[in-house]
Amino acid sequence: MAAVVLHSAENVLFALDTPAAVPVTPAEAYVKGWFVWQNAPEFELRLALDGTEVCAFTGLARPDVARHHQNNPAFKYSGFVARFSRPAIPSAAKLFVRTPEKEILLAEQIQVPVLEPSVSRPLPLPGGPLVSVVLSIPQGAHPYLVMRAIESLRRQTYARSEICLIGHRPAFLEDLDHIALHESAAQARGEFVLFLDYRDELAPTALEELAARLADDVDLVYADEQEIDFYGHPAGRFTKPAFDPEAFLSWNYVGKGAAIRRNLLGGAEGDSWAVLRDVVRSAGPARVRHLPNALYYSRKGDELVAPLARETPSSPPFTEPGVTVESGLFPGSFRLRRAVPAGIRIGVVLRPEDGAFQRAALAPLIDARQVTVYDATPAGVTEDVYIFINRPLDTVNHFFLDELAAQALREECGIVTGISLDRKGRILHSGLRRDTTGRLTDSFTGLSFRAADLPNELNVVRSVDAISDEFFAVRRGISPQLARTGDRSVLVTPYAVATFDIMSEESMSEEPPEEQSALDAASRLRQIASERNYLKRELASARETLAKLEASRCQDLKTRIRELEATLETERQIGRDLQNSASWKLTAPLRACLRLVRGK
Amino acid sequence: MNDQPLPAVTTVRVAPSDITASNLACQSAWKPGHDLLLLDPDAEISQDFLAEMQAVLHLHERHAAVSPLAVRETGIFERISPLLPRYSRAPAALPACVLIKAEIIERLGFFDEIFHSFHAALDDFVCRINRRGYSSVTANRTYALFDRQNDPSEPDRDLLLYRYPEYEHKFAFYDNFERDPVEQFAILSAPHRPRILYDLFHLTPSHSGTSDFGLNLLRELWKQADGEFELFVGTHLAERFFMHELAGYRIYDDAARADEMFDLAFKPSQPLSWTELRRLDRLAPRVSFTLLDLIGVRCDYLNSPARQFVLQRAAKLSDYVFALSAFAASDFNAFFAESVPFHTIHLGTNYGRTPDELLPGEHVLVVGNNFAHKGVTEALAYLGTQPDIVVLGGKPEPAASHVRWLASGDVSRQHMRDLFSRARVVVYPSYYEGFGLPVIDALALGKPVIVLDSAVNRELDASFANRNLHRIATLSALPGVLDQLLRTEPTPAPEMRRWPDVAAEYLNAFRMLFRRDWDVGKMRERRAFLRALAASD
Repeated sequence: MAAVVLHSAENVLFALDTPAAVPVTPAEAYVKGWFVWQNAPEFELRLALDGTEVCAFTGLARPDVARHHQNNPAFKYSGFVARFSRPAIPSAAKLFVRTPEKEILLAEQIQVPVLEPSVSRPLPLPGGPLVSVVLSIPQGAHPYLVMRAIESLRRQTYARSEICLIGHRPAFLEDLDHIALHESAAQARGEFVLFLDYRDELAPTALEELAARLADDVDLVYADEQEIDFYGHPAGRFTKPAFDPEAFLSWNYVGKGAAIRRNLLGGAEGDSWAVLRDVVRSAGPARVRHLPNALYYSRKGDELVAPLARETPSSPPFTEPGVTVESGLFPGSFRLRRAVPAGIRIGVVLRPEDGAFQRAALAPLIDARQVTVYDATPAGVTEDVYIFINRPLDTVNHFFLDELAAQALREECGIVTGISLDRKGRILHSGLRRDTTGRLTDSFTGLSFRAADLPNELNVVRSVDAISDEFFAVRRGISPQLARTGDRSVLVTPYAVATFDIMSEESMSEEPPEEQSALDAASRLRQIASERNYLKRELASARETLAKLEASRCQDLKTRIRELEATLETERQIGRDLQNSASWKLTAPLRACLRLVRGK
Repeated sequence: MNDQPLPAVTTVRVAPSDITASNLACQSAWKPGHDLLLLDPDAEISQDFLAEMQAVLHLHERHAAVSPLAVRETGIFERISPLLPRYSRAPAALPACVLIKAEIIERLGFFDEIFHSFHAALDDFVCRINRRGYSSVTANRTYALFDRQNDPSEPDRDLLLYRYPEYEHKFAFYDNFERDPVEQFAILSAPHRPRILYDLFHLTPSHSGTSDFGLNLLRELWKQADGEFELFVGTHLAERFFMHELAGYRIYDDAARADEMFDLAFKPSQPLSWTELRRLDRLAPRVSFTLLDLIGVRCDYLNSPARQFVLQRAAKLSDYVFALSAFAASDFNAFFAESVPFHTIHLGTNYGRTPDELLPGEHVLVVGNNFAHKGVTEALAYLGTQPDIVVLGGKPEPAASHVRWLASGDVSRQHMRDLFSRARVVVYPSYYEGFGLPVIDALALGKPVIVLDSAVNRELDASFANRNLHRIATLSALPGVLDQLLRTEPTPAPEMRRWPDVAAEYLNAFRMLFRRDWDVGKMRERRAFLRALAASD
């Protein structure tokens, strides 16, 4: 506990956690602490700075203080915070309690950081759609949070907006006349609606930047989220992917702060996953845009001050026969598990040049009643799904074949791949997306698949613009080259992972492990020599294989020529036999007559 | 128990959300000398509950309040009640139905109306009587169908915690250690598809025999048990070293889902810490694991008192313990002077399943890491300057500059397969193994394998009856045997034991375990043991 100021005569206990004010934005700062006045009369905790006063928000949870005082409940909600504008010149603030009868000074000479110069911005152009920001305030919402949300709306650089409160207006909002009070979001007048959680804030330029994207051909725009702590300091950032309807089935990455065309909301009172699903279904994926700027400030809970527990969905709002829903690979995501129907035949096509052990690598997964392995593209199409593997396999995950086949069998799937790794676990390929310049890129190539902070996007089934040929699956009747025609998608599933026995550039340029660098030069030389010998042997083996391959191909050609020659000779013999036959000789006059008739 | 007639009972219907009304009802209805029965009007109680509850209440002077067993359905009660003692001590009474002894009311009064709910006031009452040396108990031969877990509101909880700092701790300790495991896992007694936790929390980020065993067995178990069991893999989602093979399994991460329950917690390795044993015990009424080997406790430089003790107790306290070999089992029992009934299931191999793998030999492959018991350094010393030696495992040693030495952790699976396929002879000079996966891998490829003449290798020899397995008495015999083998053709590879065979045996054991009733004595013994450890911590 920080030093406690005791006003024994008044039975006041108080401590300031921040002896100097803490800057939170270039224009604002705050002080915080805790304050208990048992049997207190009506009072206000206020902060005075340069002749102006602000009221502090009290009643914040301080379980740490309560614990320090033997779990005394009087201390449980003793926290306060006063947030205020920073002065232009160095100043000091004072904190005091005011009752109808008197004032008690708690602290003075609190140093406050001065206002930081802000970057001048051009005034936004007039016009643009009207945006309604709908703020739903539940009973018991803490005034600090609500006021922070409203303050963030008041600081918006976009003028054509309205704030709509759903439900009741708390007493502390009585003075704010410009806020419309509605009973439902449907009463909002804006062309677009944005739902702001009372615990969150918007970046000052949020509405302006969103409005700039709201055009006739757009029905929903969502931006990245900036996580902030209870007091408003930036924490992590949630960078969202571009809109992908496939990934949206198992992960609600659109999340908070989407501007949604009002007439698509159908009276919805929030932007839950189910609501967003309905909007996207009505609008179509092409009318959804992602704005890669962090415009929505999502307030993170603070275990001490306010946990701010948010509900996480227990299942996605999508159901489909034959699909079971399981927990996904990260919190908030789901796996929609699809089974391969009984009787489905799977063909796995390998390349002979990938080495002798391709079949061996897959052998534990192969059920001969269902799966046939080919060493080259089969002449006829007899299987329901074909899985092509075009690199030397090291390992695959246990569900590799099942997952690829199950995804390929989906009506909406044109072609599907998974995640390809190199020997060191670096990502070789995970699907290609077209960037703003139209170039196809895989932004995850080179990342370590073993890293704990792998982007969430990689851990859900998603659609991409194209894939490379490491491995993929298609169902019968779809040509891999034409897989993306019509409504069919190119999918990438994280539940099919192939590790190839090759090294990516990233792995080769990796720093050697510490142990290895500690080896002396002689050891390294020995290792290099050893590797060289091995490579020589590998090279010799490869040459031998190549020679055998060439030899077998030459042999094949010679055999074919012999077969053709034999066939030709047979045909000739038939001709000769015919000309020597009695019937041919007997019909010679008839043929002569025919020639005369034809004029020859 | 005295022979006095039991007192009369005053019954009061409580209003769960209105403590003032409930208190008023109690005060007006209760007569001195009567036990007080409080009932939630919505609760469904078993017939003849009152006689049994009152009997339990008056079994001992210090029993102050008694509640029936809370269950979700009568079937569960019928299954678990016979397994429970007549009564158990409980940190709280059940708001749905509680019988309070007359003298307690006379001495300590009714409920404190400062609370907002009857539930909180009852918790306060139980804490109050407990501070005066009385207990609340559960009568396990009666039940109340009660599925509501209305915890006290936050202000009520704060006040309880202020008055009784032990309030939260006693519930946590009860849930973790005091509660009868039969009651904890009661829900699992209802008919359902058995759920198995396949515990891989022990895997470290490197390939090893332990990880090979764990992953190969898992794959085959899934293939054979899909539909029959629900299989979950226990691992930390953040530790992704093996995720390239595990992708697609249902993952149980105890950091995220602490309240899961399984019918069986199985670990394809031996528990080496209390945390691991505690996890198995906490998650399932049946605990099983596979004993790999005892090298970590036999060698003093690897051993620690905790590790040795954990291993010994885990084997005794588990429902079913597998061993990789009869040797590993006998080694355990000899070392600890125990007679744990291990069930030996040998390992299998993925090698040699395709003709492409059967390649002519080129080099001599020596397998083993730098641990002294692996015998690699000594084997290399005996092999001298023998050409074309490849060592797989551990780190290169300066004295072995003439050999190609590959650390197994850096070698890809295919490279390893290649090394075995192109081996002329495989030397596995280990002094101690629980099984020795490289032996069966090499034999599956038709490679001659030289091993020391040890109990485990004699066991494998007898089991595989493979003429390519050559046992030598000492490593000094290695050059001679190797020389002879290099000059003779190896025997063609016979069909070897495969992982599906191994999984089938494990599955049969699991099925047998599920047919058996819970071993309640073992469950309680395990819990009591872990409680003693927690208490002494």
